[in-house]
Amino acid sequence: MRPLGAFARGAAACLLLAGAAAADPSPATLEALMAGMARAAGVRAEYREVKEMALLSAPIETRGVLHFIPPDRMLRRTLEPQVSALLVDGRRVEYRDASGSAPVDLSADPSAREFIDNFTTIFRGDLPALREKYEVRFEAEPPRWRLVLEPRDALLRRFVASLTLEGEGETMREMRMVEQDGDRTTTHFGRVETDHAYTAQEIHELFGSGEAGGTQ
Amino acid sequence: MRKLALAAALLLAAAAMLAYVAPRIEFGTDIASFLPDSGGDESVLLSRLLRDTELSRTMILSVGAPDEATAVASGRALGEALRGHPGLAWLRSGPDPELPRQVYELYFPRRLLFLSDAPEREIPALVSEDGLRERARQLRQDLASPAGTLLAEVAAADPLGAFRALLERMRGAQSTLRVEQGQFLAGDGRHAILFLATRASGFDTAAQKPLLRDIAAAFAQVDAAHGGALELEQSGLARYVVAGEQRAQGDALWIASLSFLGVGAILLGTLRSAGSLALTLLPGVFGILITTTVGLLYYGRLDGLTLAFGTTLLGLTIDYPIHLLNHHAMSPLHESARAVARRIAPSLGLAAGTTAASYAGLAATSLPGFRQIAFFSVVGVAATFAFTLLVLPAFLSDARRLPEGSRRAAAAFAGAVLGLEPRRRMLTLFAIGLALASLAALPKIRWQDELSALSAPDPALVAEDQRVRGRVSPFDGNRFAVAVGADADEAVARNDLVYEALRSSIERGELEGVRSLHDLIWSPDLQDRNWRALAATPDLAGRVERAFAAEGFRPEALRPFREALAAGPPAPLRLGELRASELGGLAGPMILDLGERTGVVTLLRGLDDLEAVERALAALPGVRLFDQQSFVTGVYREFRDATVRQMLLGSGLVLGVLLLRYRSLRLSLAAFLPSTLVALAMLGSFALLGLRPNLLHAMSIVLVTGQGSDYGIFVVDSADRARDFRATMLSLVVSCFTTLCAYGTLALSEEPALRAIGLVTGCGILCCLLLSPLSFVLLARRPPQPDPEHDA
Repeated sequence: MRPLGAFARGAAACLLLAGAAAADPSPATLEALMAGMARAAGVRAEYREVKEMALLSAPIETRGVLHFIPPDRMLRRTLEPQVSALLVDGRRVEYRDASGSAPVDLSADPSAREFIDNFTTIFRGDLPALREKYEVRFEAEPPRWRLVLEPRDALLRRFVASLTLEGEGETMREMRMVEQDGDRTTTHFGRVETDHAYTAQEIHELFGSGEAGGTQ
Repeated sequence: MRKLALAAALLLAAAAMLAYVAPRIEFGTDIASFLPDSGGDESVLLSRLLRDTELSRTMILSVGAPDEATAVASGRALGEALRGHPGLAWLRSGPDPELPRQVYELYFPRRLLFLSDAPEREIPALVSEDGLRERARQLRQDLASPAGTLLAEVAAADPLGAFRALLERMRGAQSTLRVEQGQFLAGDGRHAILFLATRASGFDTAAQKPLLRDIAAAFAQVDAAHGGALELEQSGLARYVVAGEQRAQGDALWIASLSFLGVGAILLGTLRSAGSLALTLLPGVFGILITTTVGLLYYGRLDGLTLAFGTTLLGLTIDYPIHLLNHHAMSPLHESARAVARRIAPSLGLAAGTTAASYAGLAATSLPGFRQIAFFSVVGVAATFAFTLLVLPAFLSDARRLPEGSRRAAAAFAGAVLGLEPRRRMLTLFAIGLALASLAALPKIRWQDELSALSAPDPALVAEDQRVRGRVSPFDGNRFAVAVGADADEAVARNDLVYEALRSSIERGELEGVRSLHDLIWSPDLQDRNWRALAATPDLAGRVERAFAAEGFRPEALRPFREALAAGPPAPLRLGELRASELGGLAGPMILDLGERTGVVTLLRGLDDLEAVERALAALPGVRLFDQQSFVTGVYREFRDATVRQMLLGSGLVLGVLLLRYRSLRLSLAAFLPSTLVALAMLGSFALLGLRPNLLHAMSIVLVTGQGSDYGIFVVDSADRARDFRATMLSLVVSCFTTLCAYGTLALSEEPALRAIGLVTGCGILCCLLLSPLSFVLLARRPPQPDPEHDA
């Protein structure tokens, strides 16, 4: 049981949020969007996620906060309806739920590792590598833009059919992940701080040992 | 001409035996040879545990590097360099990326068999209305979590969460190390970790030495490629065994050189002839060759310890040729070597018989290695004796005469003994006093059975081992719980009970945690009970659908679960199937193959209350807590007990042989008592001085008394004739000092085991010589008379 889809959603959202923040206010090309990523500062955004699953008669809605600190730190903290946290810190990947049990170290998980590799590839603004891992389609009708990613990697493709990220100007509005079984997750972003300067104290609280990805 | 033909025949025979022996001889020691092979299931089980499990064959390599990237690169490079080494059964430097798929394929179809390890109690609660509603609420929360995407994939077929629970348990059976780019790393990120298992036992030094060399060479290359910034540290039994052997060999080399020079000097000084020196050594050499050949033909393999001890014993039979040469050289000129051999044959035969008898008792032990030693000793002594009497005389010139100096020495030694005759009463009282004092002290003797007393491991190796293990696993490498069953199913069932008992111990704080096969497999019975508990619930699929629908699930989406129930129970997962699967590597280290039986090992962590955990396991059939240190101590205690019993039994046999030969209690006791007194005195001294003798001290005392009884026999048999008595006394002195040079020099060794042998052999044989006059005194005869014929 690996939160691969969540990696995709959380990390891609952070990257695109960061990219949108630092790049051209209305990127007309994928190159411009990617170039902005490398210059990204810290990002903090609130999110509302809606999951539509074949298993459920009604969607599940969750709310939380995303934190992203270049080059490779991310924390997806879910606050409602249950508290949980997914943390990526370099090569460390950890999940902690509300039960108070010990955090689950996913660093050794091949699927998690695979995604982290993709994550760093995107962050580096390495478009050739991105194209190698995904079918990439970028559409722009300034000020609105849309990036569609379809994984080439078999492991990722087993779960994820596509990731679609949409924004307007410098702000990403929505991310939509469609899974192979038809389940769909849509994340709406609000109160986005695109150039959040994290203090050492904040970084320690968010990513420091023990409290890393704390659920409180 | 005849002599030449005999020499040629001997050479041919020696060459043939050498050609047979050389390719088959091994100097390695197999611990199994010195572990019980009968006399109780538990002993045999634990022997196998120590020798056969992967635990004894597993090594851990830790490559320290200045940073994480270098650690990863160097770990991978070392792994690649060693992968495929013929001495390795396997090598793992990182997790298998295929593991999730393998787990899914093996377990998902059987998920409902692994729902609960207390199915009769837990499953009814789980499938109750409240239980199912609670489970549905939990699943809904989980689906909302980051893990939801993957959960959704299996939740439709597994709404009860059996597969997820199974995965959570399996997490405990996997490594807790970090992984970077497929390479295991210690928590500090600066040590790459590799696990490997050798094909050969960790005790097999012949196989382990080249492997350790190859590991060092492979590391040197990797290190050079990284500018010498790396540090290799290792953990594993093989390193202790090889280091111990090398240390012993290093000592043995210079001590052997010293011994050889000393023995050569003494014999040359006495005989003044290189030819005579060669003849003195010849019976021993042939004795070893013959015995090794016969031993290999009979056993197929001789253990290194058997060879070492047996060869040592045969070294003591140098008495026989010394005796023959001295008696021959001091005999009248017309007496041929063959005639002298015939004359002293009864004495030598008796000496050989008592020596063989004193070791024959070892054959009665349950230790195969001891039985080999008994065989080697009996055959070897017989061969040396026969060679001395039948072959050696052919090479002795009738005109041989002892050098004048040696003659004078012989007379002086004999005179010194005869000089004690007037003090017979005082000597007798002294002997009685010594015997009584020693006997009184014996109850105070405290044996030292810890392995460290025999061979203290290098503290640096121990520290390195602990550092490496500390980086890798929190589990105790020396303590395990072991469950044994008549077959694999029973062993796994008993392991289920072990798991349950240890879980209670963990709850009580007696133990921090376990790594158990229970995380990977349950007994077929427990799996079956899970299914039966589910099947006993009326309309389970409908109940689940209704309860889940009430919590926001679409009942039709749970069709895979309904279909799984309708399909009936899958075949239970059995140990054989698990081992044969791609996941077999996870289970392997926890399984013991015991012939028709199977054992399952549970690793323990943070054992705070040994006795409490022992109590928790005591009531379980076929289960026990294994403590490696106490086990090894127990094994060596058994060795030592066997040796002491052998000492008593051997002494009884020797006395019996003497009584048969002499038909006189006085003569028999005269030959027997001095060496027995030496054994008593040595044991008494240990007790009085507060020293703790160990197994090797005991074995050395047996060795000494074997030779000491020869001294008594020679004295008794030659006490009637002055010339013979002088030759005997010279032989005893020469024999004693060659023994001192050959074995007493081991006392100079830094190796505790060799030092123990050297000290006891050296002191003991000297005491045997000093007390040998007692044999004469106890005879209560007149001094030997000149033999007109022989002394002419």
